[in-house]
Amino acid sequence: MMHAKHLKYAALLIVTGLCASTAQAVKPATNRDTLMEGRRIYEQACAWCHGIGGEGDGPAGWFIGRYTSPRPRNFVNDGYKLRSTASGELPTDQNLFRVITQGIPGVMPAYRSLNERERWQVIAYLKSWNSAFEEETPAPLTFPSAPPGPTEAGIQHGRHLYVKLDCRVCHGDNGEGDGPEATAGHLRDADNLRIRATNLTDPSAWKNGASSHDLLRTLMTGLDGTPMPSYANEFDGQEEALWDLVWYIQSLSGQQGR
Amino acid sequence: MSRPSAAAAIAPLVMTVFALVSGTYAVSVPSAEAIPAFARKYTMNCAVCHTAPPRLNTFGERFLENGYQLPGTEDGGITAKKHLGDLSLDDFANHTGGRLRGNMLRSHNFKRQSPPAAEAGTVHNNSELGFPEIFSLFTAGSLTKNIGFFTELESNMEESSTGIERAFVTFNNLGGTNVANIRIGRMDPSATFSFSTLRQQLELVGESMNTSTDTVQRAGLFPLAASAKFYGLRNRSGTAISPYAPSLYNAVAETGIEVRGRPFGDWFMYQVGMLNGANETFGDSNKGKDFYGAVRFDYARSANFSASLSAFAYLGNSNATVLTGAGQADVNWHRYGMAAHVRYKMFDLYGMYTLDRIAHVPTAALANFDTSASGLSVACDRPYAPLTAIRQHGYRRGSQPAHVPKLRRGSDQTIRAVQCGPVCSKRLQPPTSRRRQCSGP
Amino acid sequence: MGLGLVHPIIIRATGKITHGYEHPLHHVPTFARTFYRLGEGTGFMKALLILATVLFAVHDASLSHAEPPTGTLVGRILYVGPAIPEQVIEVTRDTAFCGAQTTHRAVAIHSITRGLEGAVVSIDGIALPASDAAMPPLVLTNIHCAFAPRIAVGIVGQQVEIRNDDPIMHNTHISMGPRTFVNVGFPQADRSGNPLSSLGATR
Repeated sequence: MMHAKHLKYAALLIVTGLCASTAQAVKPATNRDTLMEGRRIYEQACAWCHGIGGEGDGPAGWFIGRYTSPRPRNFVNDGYKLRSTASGELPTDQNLFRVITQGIPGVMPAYRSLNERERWQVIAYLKSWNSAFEEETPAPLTFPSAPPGPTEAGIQHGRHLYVKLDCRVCHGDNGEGDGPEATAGHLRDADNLRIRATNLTDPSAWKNGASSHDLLRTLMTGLDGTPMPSYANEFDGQEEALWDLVWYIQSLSGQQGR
Repeated sequence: MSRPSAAAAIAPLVMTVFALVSGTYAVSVPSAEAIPAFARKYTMNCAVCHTAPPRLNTFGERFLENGYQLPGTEDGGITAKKHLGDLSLDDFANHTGGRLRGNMLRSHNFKRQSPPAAEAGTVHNNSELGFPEIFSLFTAGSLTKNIGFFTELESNMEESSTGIERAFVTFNNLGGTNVANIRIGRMDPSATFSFSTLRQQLELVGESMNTSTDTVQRAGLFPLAASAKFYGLRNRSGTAISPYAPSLYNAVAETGIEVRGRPFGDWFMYQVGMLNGANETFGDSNKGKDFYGAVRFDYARSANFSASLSAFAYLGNSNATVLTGAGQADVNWHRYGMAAHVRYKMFDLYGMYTLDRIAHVPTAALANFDTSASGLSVACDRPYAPLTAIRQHGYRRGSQPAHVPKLRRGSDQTIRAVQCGPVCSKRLQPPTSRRRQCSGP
Repeated sequence: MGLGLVHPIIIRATGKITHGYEHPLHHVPTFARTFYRLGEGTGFMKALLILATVLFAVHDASLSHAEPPTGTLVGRILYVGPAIPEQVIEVTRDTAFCGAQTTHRAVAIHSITRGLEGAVVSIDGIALPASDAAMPPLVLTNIHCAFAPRIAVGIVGQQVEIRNDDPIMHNTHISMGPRTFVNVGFPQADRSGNPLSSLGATR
């Protein structure tokens, strides 16, 4: 019996070890070869919008936002919107990997067709433009796990928070992105470009993802460089309230709990 | 109407009223010139690929060249597909899209009434309601990794025709990334040229011809550098070729095969192809194949700027006929051209010069037939959401029936057009738009 | 020169700075290397001429190397350019509390002395010993729909505490160049802390 148990542990260790070594193999070390390969891929796949020097000024980049936000990310000195880290911090490598893999609805295609190693190589290359990545160690926030599911009372509480936190000022009473600040054209991004408030009734267009965890992450981290702030402090120690707000926002599109 | 004998011998096409057209004005219903299927599949705004549809920006050009796969990737079997074992399935909606084009109102008027060369019964002032005129149904995308396809079914109510406008299959990245991309089928050869025939901001308006008399009633509004230019040419079935019809390398669709690639990097593209024969009607006589080759040099490494310079040569082989008095005789119709584009931020400037030469013209027709013609088209546009301002100039110089007066010294014909059209919005909502088109000397 | 809109006078000195005129507008610790400035307009500095009357003297040029090169810089920065009018800004939200309009002064100038308030002087080229002393947080308060203080100086690593003393929701979005320093929402009477992470002008 003991022998079988040891075998199980040994098998588990081997499997775990294989997984770990596979993961390590997928994400290459940041060295010259990685950067050179990342550059090659970047110039074939990314430079059209982000520019050959990573400053968000590629020959096709101007057309994406035209005269409104967003423009392609400037990898040299911009901050990052889509993160799991606190407001003001850099994104983690996983955050960058997620954006490349899933894309950004409306503006950036998902590059799943690059294999994982290629995606990591591109990440290493684009990070090389910003010395802050060497000086800082971005740490993801701790996100509360989801409760069993939305309740009617929770959704009602979420509605109360939606009003209290002035979400309606930008996103509108019914979440259609038609709040008074949005319709008046007051919303601007860090480049002083006009920016639309997200239509919360259309999750397919949410740039930071449409799942409940994506929504919660957006509320916690905010979207740096945009009028969307972080509410991490407000919900510190109030995970249940945070989820109530998530359920309410999802209820605007009838997709709570997805 | 009695026609001079010389003209009858060489060219029953008689331009009569167009020489006196002072202007054509049209209000158009905007058409979704982007292919929404691609936008749906990749969840992207049309503006990711287009400057102002149908013009492509640099990303869109590389997407097209890569067989409808994201540039630098081979994602044909991956993105937005469901994978069942080795089988990749795509939503039908990711492959299909429709386009409706038409002029709600088209009107023309003439400065001179009943000019000497005018055909009897010509309507001098006219306004007509015409919407909708053209409906296109696309299916396009990637079947699997590095295999793409495109079909366009078009129903043209004005021309009372319905059929396959274009249909081809692509095989991409053969021999390495962008080394060789093959396209087979009924296609537009100039799709990847600096000046693409089909990607014009100016809404193409076909010429009006009286088929019983082979008389051009109204000039087509079309880049003249891409047009046939010659009066008096016929296709091999004997039907007159309009001097305004896009042809040869700039044809809207011809059947053949081509190979294209950028084996040395993004800065250089080659293209070689063979067509059954431009101006062949359906069913190839196989009397001779037409060959073409093109090179393109690109620069896309500066901030918000891109430019390209292209050149092509198209060698026709028995690809047209002329009347000799005793019947028809085959001629070889060649074309050489150069094109360029410069794009900075929202401003897009592009143009093309072409030189046509006809070889083996029978002696009987030589006296009244020019064997060379040239054309120049220059256009610029700049999107101002939700409209796009366009200005296009073009001229053609070439053979023309002797009795038709020269329109302008040094240039037989000039078309100027100013157009405002819609730009693509994510939801493809048709904004109100107006377009003004001017055709005339 | 040229730290954002502040245009600080940079005095390069290797010795102790002990002498100056009276009525200093700002007493800046010489170890201060990070600035942040909030609520400024743009473009006005093109017309701004600052007459610096900061005088200094090296009290003891033969200062011992063992002695920390610290000291006090005292002086006055006068503004001699044309008057800069207040900018009237229309308030677009919470007007019941904030009012329909507010005024914004690009620069604050003393009406009598012409002294420029909120000038920041940076002294460059001095290597200072690390201080173990705990720095109190810099406090930036949203009060009456404006930030207070308008200008403050901190050091790298120092905590910036952001408060909202108003009974209404405020977003506090501070940037260092194109990068966000912090972008947080405060419903009311709340606070948050972020450390200054790098050198530069923040606003």
